[in-house]
Amino acid sequence: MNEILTGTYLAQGDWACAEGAIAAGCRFFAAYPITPATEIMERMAVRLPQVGGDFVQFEDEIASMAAVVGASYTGAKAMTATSGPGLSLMAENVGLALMTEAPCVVVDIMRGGPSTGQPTMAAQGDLMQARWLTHGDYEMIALAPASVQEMFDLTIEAFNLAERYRLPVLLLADALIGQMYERLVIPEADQVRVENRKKPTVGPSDYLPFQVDDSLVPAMACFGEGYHFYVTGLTHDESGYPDMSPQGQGRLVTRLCAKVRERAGEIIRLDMYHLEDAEVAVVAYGMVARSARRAVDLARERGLRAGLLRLVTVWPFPTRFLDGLSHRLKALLVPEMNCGQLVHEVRGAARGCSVHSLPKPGPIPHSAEEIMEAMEGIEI
Amino acid sequence: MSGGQVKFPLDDLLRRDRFPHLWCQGCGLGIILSAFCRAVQEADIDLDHLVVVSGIGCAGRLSGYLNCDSFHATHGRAIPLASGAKIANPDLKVVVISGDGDLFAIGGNHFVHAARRNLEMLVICSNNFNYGMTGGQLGPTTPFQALTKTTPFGNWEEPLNLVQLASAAGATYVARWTVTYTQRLTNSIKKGLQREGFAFIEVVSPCPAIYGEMNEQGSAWQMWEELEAVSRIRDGIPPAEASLDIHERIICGDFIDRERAGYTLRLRQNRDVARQKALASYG
Amino acid sequence: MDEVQRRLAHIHIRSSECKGCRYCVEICPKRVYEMTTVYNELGYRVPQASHEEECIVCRRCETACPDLAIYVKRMGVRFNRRNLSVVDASYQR
Repeated sequence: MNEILTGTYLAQGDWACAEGAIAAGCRFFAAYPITPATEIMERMAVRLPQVGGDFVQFEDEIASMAAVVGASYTGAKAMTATSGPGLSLMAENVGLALMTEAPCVVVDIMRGGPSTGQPTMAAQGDLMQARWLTHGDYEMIALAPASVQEMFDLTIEAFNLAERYRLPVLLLADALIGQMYERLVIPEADQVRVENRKKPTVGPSDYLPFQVDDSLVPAMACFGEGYHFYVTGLTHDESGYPDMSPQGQGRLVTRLCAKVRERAGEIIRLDMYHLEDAEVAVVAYGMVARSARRAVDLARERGLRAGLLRLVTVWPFPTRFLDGLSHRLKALLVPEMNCGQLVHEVRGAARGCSVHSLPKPGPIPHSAEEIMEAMEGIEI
Repeated sequence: MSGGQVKFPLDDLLRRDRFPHLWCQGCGLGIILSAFCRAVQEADIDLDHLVVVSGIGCAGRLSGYLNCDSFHATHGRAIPLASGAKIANPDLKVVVISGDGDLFAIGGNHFVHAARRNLEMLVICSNNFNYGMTGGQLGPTTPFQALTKTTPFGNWEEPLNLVQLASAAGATYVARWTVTYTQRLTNSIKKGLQREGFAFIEVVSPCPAIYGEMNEQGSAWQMWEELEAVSRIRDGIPPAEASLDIHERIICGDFIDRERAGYTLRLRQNRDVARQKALASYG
Repeated sequence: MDEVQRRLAHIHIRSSECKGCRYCVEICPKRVYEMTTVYNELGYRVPQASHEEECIVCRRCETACPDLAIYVKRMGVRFNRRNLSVVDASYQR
């Protein structure tokens, strides 16, 4: 059975995500049914056993995320997929994955919330949840696809980042992106770039499971390889043993944050449209960025020098880039399918121009006209 | 008589640099650790393929003393974490050792479903009738009327019978021992380790420093003596009759011993079917 | 039989890891152990095997020790006696 289904398809976003995972080498998937992410697990239930992997529907999202961490520590590339309510339940074990540096991918297909909200409808209300999902100090990586093609491409990217930096990576898509159908091109197998975690180069007697080099990412031994290592969600030292010293906490969490912060430049991907000469620019991600792109075209037809900064990576946030950009602009507009989340982050970063919020709490995304009119309404 | 330089028989199975362990005087967890190590030796388990997962609490620290791959998971989630490891690499011998609160209060749902699936793992529950690590609060096995920090006037809830739950959920091996049956416990763990299915062993374990203290059960040795006095072995009796009353009668023994296809075996069969179906539809 | 010939075991105690629960003292069917007045670094009074020569190697103390601090090492017996010609039977069968 083919592991990579090379070809051109009219595909659903969730389907593309599952195929991207398999192309990236994912061989373990654990989840619990939830609209609008269920189609990912349904596709995985068909495909994983065909390619020699395992699909398990667990009793809840808590178990699913715990199982993903366990599978990751056997060396498997592991993934789960859910929506807001399920992500809330996964929070603690996403923290475990961060603390124990277990590479894995968590997909959140956003629906209306809080609580049960609007299960079948789109929203972008989980942006801050994606950043601050679990308690404590950490950095998250979250990618925001805006097309079915990106559901495929960015799922692969999410696995590569997870393996490179040893952490859970979030794929943050809204229900519209997850459930819509559009053209998907799956490349030849040799065109898919796949990264794998760094393995120890020393034997068991010299191995310290959380010792790092300049990359700040420790080499990862796996269960069953004879390394006899201990892993704990407690604050730990290089040996993996609990470290309750005042210095221990600072050392560990500083490194966990630094391994992402120091590489933010390599991690962050931005899509820029007509920013070169723009006076007013839109900052958006996911479905809203598609309307925004059309809005930029409409505004330009009417003589307004508009531009778009689409966040492909939403976390870590491109703070420095936005600040630099803001000094070349007169205003930034932040449309988002919620009551205003991204706008706060943009305001914190962009000190060179005014920042305007255009919230719309779903489920219908902003139209291009709405965004264009909002741009025109800004006094510059 | 000094044990300083002499190598003890279990030393190779332990992280000796972590001793003395953190458990209190007379705590049964050390006895469980010791019995587990002897069972691993006697069953000739390959340490390179042994993974021990524990949750949070006093028992949660047990995995950290074992010289094998071991994981100290989040509270209540040892079983699903171990499930992920076993499913992703069925060659591993996976064991979960944790406490009554971790496995049956916060983690109760996972226990039921892992037993139902017959996941090939051994689950050992140290039942000390209270939450020790947090200072002695009510647990799912705290006896009726017992005093804890959160039932200061006596527990008004009824405890859960773990053996009955495990059997009803589908475990293929179910046993209960008190730590006083050191040899029987070792034999039972050995049996559980050799089983290719979901095996469950409840170990009634004294907590003299906290539970015993709150309930005026005397010294560690007095608790031990009471456990010995009320325990009876009734191998093979129906789980419904395997009662547990810490002051009257603790029924111990092997209660369930049955064969059922293991979960990872079923997953392999599912792969075969999936591949055949794929070949049939794609040619 | 003299003392040396009757001795079946050497009892090793890691006193520094003992928490003084007295299980060994109370459980031994031959009353091999006694509590001492010595306190270890952890602050617990520790036992000693005062009557090691009485040990019958039942290993009740070893398996019951919550601190994994006792090792009852079976000794080689140099003389031949009916069914008791143990040469070097270590615990590790």
